Amino acid sequence: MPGLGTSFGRGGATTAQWDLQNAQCIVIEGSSMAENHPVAYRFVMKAKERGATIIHVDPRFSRTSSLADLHVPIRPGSDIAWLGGLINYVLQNDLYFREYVIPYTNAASIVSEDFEDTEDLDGLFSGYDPEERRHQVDTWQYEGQPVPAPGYNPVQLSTQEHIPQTESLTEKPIPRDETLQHPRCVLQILKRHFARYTPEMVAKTCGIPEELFHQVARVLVENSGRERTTAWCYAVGWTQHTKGVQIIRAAAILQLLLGNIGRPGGGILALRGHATIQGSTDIPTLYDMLPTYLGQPSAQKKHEHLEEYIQTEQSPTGWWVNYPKYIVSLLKAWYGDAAREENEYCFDHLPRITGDHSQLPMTMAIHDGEIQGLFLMGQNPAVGGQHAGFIRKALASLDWMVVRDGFEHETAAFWYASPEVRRGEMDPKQIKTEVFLLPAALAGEKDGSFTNTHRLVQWHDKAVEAPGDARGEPWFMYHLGMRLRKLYAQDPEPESIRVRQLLDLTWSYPLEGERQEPVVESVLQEINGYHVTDRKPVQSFEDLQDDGSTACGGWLYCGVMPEPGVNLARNRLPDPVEGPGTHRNWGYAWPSNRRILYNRASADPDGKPWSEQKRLVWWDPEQGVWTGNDNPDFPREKAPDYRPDWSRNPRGMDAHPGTAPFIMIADGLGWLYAPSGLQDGPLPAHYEAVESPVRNPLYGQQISPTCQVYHRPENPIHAVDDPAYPYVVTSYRLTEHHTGGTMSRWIPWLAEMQPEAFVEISEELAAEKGIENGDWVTVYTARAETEMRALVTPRIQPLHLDGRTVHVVAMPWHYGYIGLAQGDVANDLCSLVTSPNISIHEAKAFTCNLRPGRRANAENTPVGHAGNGERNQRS
Amino acid sequence: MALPTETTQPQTDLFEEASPPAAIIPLQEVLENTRQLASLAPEYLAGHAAANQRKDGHPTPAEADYYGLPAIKKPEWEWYIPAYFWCGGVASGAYITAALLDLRHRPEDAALVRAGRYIALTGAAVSPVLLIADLGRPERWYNMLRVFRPRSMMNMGAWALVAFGAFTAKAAGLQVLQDLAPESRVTRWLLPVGRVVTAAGIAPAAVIGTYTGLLLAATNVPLWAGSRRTIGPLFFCSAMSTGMAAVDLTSRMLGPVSEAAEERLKKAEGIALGAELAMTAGAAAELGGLAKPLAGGKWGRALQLGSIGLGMVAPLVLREVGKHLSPRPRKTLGLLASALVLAGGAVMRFAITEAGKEQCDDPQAYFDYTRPEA
Amino acid sequence: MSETEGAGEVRHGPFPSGQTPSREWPFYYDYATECPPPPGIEAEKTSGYPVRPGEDYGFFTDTTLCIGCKACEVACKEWNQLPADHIEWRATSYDQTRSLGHSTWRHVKFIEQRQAEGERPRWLFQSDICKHCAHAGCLEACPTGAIVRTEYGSVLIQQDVCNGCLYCIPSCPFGVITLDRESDAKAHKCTFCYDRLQDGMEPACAKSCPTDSIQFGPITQLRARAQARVEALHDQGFPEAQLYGDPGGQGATNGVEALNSFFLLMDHPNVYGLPEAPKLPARQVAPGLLTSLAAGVLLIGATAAALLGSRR
Ligand SMILES: Nc1nc2c(c(=O)[nH]1)N[C@H]1C(S)=C(S)[C@@H](COP(=O)(O)OP(=O)(O)OC[C@H]3O[C@@H](n4cnc5c(=O)[nH]c(N)nc54)[C@H](O)[C@@H]3O)O[C@H]1N2
Ligand SMILES: Nc1nc2c(c(=O)[nH]1)N[C@H]1C(S)=C(S)[C@@H](COP(=O)(O)OP(=O)(O)OC[C@H]3O[C@@H](n4cnc5c(=O)[nH]c(N)nc54)[C@H](O)[C@@H]3O)O[C@H]1N2
Ligand code: SF4
Ligand code: SF4
Ligand code: SF4
Ligand code: SF4
Ligand code: SF4
Ligand SMILES: [Mo]
Repeated sequence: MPGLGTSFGRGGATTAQWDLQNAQCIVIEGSSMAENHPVAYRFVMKAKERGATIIHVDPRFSRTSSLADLHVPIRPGSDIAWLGGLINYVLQNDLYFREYVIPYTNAASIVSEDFEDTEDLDGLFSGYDPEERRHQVDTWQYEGQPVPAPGYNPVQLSTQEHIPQTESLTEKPIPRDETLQHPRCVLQILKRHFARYTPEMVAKTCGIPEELFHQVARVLVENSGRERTTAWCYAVGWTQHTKGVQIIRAAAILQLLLGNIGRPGGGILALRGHATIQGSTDIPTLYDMLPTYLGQPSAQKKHEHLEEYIQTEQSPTGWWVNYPKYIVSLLKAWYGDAAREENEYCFDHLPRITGDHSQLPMTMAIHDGEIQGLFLMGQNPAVGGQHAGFIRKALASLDWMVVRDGFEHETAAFWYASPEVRRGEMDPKQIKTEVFLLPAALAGEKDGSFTNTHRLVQWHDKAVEAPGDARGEPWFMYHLGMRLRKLYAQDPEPESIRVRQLLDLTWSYPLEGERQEPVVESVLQEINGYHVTDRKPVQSFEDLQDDGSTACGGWLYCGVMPEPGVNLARNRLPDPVEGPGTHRNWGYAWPSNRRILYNRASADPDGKPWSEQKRLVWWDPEQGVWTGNDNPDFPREKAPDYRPDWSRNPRGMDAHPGTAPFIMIADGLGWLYAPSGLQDGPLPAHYEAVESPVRNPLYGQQISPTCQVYHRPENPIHAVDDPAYPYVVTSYRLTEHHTGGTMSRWIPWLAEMQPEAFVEISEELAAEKGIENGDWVTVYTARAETEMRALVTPRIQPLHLDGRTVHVVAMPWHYGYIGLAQGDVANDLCSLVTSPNISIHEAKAFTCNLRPGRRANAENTPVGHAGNGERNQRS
Repeated sequence: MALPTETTQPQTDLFEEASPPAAIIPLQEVLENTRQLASLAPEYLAGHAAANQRKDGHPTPAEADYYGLPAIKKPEWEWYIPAYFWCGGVASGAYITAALLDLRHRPEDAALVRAGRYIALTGAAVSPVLLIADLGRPERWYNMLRVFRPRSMMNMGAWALVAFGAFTAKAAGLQVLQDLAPESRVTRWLLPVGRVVTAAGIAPAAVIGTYTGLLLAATNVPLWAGSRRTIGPLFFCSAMSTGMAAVDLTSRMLGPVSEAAEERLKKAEGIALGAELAMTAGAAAELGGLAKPLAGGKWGRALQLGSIGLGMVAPLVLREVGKHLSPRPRKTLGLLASALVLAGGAVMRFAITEAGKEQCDDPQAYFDYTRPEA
Repeated sequence: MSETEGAGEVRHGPFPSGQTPSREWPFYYDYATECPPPPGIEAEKTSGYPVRPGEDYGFFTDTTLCIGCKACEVACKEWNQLPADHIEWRATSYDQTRSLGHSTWRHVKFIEQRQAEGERPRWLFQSDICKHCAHAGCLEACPTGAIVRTEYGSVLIQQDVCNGCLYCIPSCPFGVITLDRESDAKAHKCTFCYDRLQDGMEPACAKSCPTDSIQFGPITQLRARAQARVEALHDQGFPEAQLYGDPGGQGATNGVEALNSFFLLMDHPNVYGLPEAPKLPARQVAPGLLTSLAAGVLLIGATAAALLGSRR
């Protein structure tokens, strides 16, 4: 998310799946879309039938590659070198969409002299603090003008007093040189930064032949511009690296240079994971975020009081000037009448975070006994978590664990069924963890909504009652909350913060049915927001106020229930075949039902569509309003020729000219260069994975200088080019199975289709190791050994890097020790490593070794396939 | 636009109109002057981006199949079916022998006629039991007679079996009457009519003896379908030889058999065996390469040794040898020959059926069988 | 503790104040009338064609659009509640089903091909199914008449008639049918979702296919569409694109006439395990009849002569 958030202003996908059919070229990289988003791949196929070129950049020739026109085999972990090469090709040959780049991006903005690039510091940016492993962004700012970054928890100026400094944004424009000749304008900085990313360097680093590089480069260039657009699709093949955010930044830069953002058939489609992972990022299950991208107050920031918090998070220019309205409305929604102006709307009730409490740090805290209890709802980390063996051992040091799930999966059964117990490393009699296994009602057994990969909120009604004691999360959370409130009501100090936090909550939703389940649609009504006085719903987030007169659980979702009882997420009316083709009556896409973000850029600076074929949103001079096939991502009445009048210190949107499509960013321009916001740099630079068989060919700095490597005895890390672990290994998904496997390996029909864990290796590697197709092999790292069947296939090709051959090994990671289809847990092999900005793990590129034959103590573990699943007899 | 020096003041107004860019170099020119290396590029420019697909329509890979997995499914008939083929054949041969002999109703042939009719009856009685035993749902055996479908050999077989059953029952009934009450008026009155009807029964009997071959031929199994012209006659010849052998064996047990009748039966049996050998050779010729499963392997050896060797050639040799011996040894040799014929017939049915089933697992055989005619 | 009243009374469905739903945005969903669609016309919504008895329907499966997701295979098993009776891994690429049979009526094949030096590999997929032949070997062979031609032009095994005689199994030129020995000892194969067609619904496999690789519709329309698709592919430089099961073409030879479930393949049929020129079994009988008749008459004559050779 920060990758897209820092480049364009919002962390969501900029376009929609169905819009891919309007593309002339689609690049799928860091994703196997046909396998993992098969329904969305329908539109890639529609585009292909209309003559589009489909390119799949992936270490493996997967099912997606078989349908693509071009498959580009790439070494796992080297995407920035490849994308940098493409950026360099576009810049050196002046092939960027100049009429788009100059007005809509910060290419012309001039950066301060203090900035030093990786070319000057051999892989580091200026302001790097080795102890903290972080950058100070102060030296990256525009010349004489610091600028805050959009998005939640961005890295802002270290001096914390950046408020007065950024206030100057409302006084004078950011210095620019439209001729793009100024040595310190962003475009020249980009040219110098990527100058060494030549096709030869790309071949040396990624193993991609130069001819293929040139062909892809030409396809991209020829399918961008006024008449044609290129779309990019990515998923965890990009995010799960210690430099994942910067890979996405590189793609954002390339798409901005080619002028593909905000236009039909263009954009970057972040293919989200679980069914409503976008929803669980908007109304977050994240430790560091309040609903709809407001920063969670932190003890490490000046967040003591509401005023300070707003000062730190607000941006004087751009849409985030409305920050106060959204935080106050949220507090009014959570604390109702208890939230009054005098007590800063109960701002002190919000817990403060004290550091990184994400998945891996949390797991280490459990292992070290800092956490006694764990609620595990909708996750199977014993299979899906990194260094899963460490996770299973960590769970043993919990006092209690509440697991709510449809099945008893590997995590719930860690204490008696895990490989550690079977190998005698853990004795069930010694494990003190008390496991409460509560049956959970699954998606079809409860009301609720899915927010899919292109921000589309779709409501679904309960289809069938959950069997027996199975209850949904709303029921569990509501009734748990009521019981805690009763308990805390008898607390001796009723006024203590601990008690007020709970009792001041508006915790009274209407209940229905004899199971007394909360009416979930009333929660959506609360998220949509309402006027406190007459409880009438708020029509749009523009109506929210910061004086406590409005309450809103999530400002981005404003407008989903504009009138009592009316839920636009229920809409199921597609556009007719003849158009307009944006399907605005199917579900509700935040913000304000907009389908393609930044669509102001689909018109030229004067507000006319770039071409007839690519018209989407345009300026209607007569009515003086923006109109088109989609909800304009721009103030409706702001004319294209509007220029801010600096003498009147314009704030918010008034500070943006009529040609600034990226309204969420302080200067309204697409950030090729990110002056602030990210910990690892204003520009992407190629670093090797933490465990890599090759030295970094571009810089002395081997790995990302700001990633976190947890040096613990249980987490040994392989050295660079370690002869004991010579092969690059990556993990991927199968269409037939679903993540940790609970929702597929238990189902006979799905277990039958991929019954055992296997690993894909090339014929050359198999010949080298004397492995036949179908043999057992043991894949091992310094952390664990796993046994899998070998699928020897021509679809995995060894990479030739600068005369040296590097073998790639690829394995699905769905398998676990329970269910009909079983196998060793591939994630036992991974290491505890997290990326800067969002602490994501690095499961897509590390090193391993493999040998023929089964694991050492293979005999006491069940043979791969269970085969004992009960057959549903034919009548 | 002069190149701004370091000291130039930044322009005051935020955006003028985007200054017209330096002359945009046409794309074609750029691509040329960057000395593109892309050998693949021409394809792309020719509008066909995919350099990955085969260019010249791939020629038939010699050994193409899908992981060697079967292309057709084998009918998992158990031993009942080949046993039925043999038993039906014997009954058919016996009936025809009896019916032919009965045409001249010579007293010396009475023993042979009686044996033939009783064998035909038992065969006709055992056959349906074997067929029904092999059914997945035996309790629905009567569905075999639910329709009359000429294009289904099994349906035609079912109806033929009914007809044959009727004729054998009638012939056997007639035989019982003759044995028990040779003189009664009824017997004398029925005999001439019976004899005509019995002769008419030769047709369904011949069908029973032949259709089982055609049933196999009307499938996709190369071994069976590939010998469609000869497998029917082969089964019929085998039916006749095994039928006569059975008559020979059982008639001796039921009482003395005249020398002359014995001599004529042996001669006829010789002819049937000769025809069977000829048909086997014919089938081999017709099958050509498709006969691979019977050229070697378990069932191939069984057919060659058991059926052809012991079942056809040996009895002929024994017959020749027998001619030069005194009656007693000739008789025992004759019995041995008939036993061998009977056994050989059974081995042939099992060999052809089982070898055909195994051949279903060989996709190459089926693909050869389904090559388009030249 | 402030007991605030819930966030407004929530009604399910109907739009406010009796407005008639305008189709313009923001369209307010009229829950009652919109879903589910009235029975009988669902196929028209999902496949574009209504289902009417008396018309021949079929599948055109364009393997160049198949992504090997096996949604069709699972949709068929789920709709027909077929048992998953074979959980065993073998190194046959991503195909662990390996063949059609009594418990698998849709089978997606995976063919990995190495190519010449320098060119990348190729991975072909094909979702195989009963071909619902115009002249069906199984139908002609079935002695009990259990296999019939339905009013939709498909071939159906009537489960209340089949007695498990196994004769349809070797009679199918494509190895589609097998007997379920473990449960009801009857022959089973794709029913062309006869039950769904009777309710005007598109077959489950076609409806579940995300990329419309399986296209359901009247046969005539599908033939035209297939022809156009093959020509388009040839223009795009894929000379190896070929139809399988087009009337008289490969896969529909020697009396089979045509396949109602036909394919667009990207390699020789044998590569997919399909026969290039299948033969309709019933056509094997005629030549056999003649020779059998001749042999029969000759042998009976010779036998008669031998048996009745008059000594007197
Ligand atoms: N059938 C199915 N679908 C799913 C899921 C599932 O479990 N099953 N899971 C869902 C979830 S939670 C998610 S997050 C998404 C994930 O969707 P995807 O990201 O598509 O999932 P993966 O297969 O893990 O990874 C995609 C591809 O990245 C490639 N790859 C590995 N390393 C690199 C690299 O360094 N560079 C590049 N360019 N590519 C690399 C892998 O070979 C793989 O083919 O899928 C969702 N959809
Ligand atoms: N090596 C490697 N590891 C990876 C990845 C990778 O690409 N490579 N991908 C990572 C990614 S992107 C993800 S998303 C994770 C996925 O890993 P997890 O988040 O662990 O996903 P699942 O294993 O599917 O666990 C989801 C659980 O929720 C249960 N469930 C389903 N519906 C409900 C419900 O309504 N209520 C409740 N309470 N439970 C429910 C399911 O039964 C299942 O047990 O894996 C991560 N791990
Ligand atoms: S499983 Fe669900 S989310 Fe995944 S492709 Fe299918 S419909 Fe979409
Ligand atoms: S493919 Fe086989 S089972 Fe299907 S209709 Fe044709 S002959 Fe019958
Ligand atoms: S097994 Fe059933 S369907 Fe097949 S031929 Fe016999 S009766 Fe007909
Ligand atoms: S038509 Fe119906 S029965 Fe036949 S394969 Fe498709 S889903 Fe299965
Ligand atoms: S559902 Fe469609 S795309 Fe998926 S495997 Fe079946 S035919 Fe291919
Ligand atoms: Mo995910």
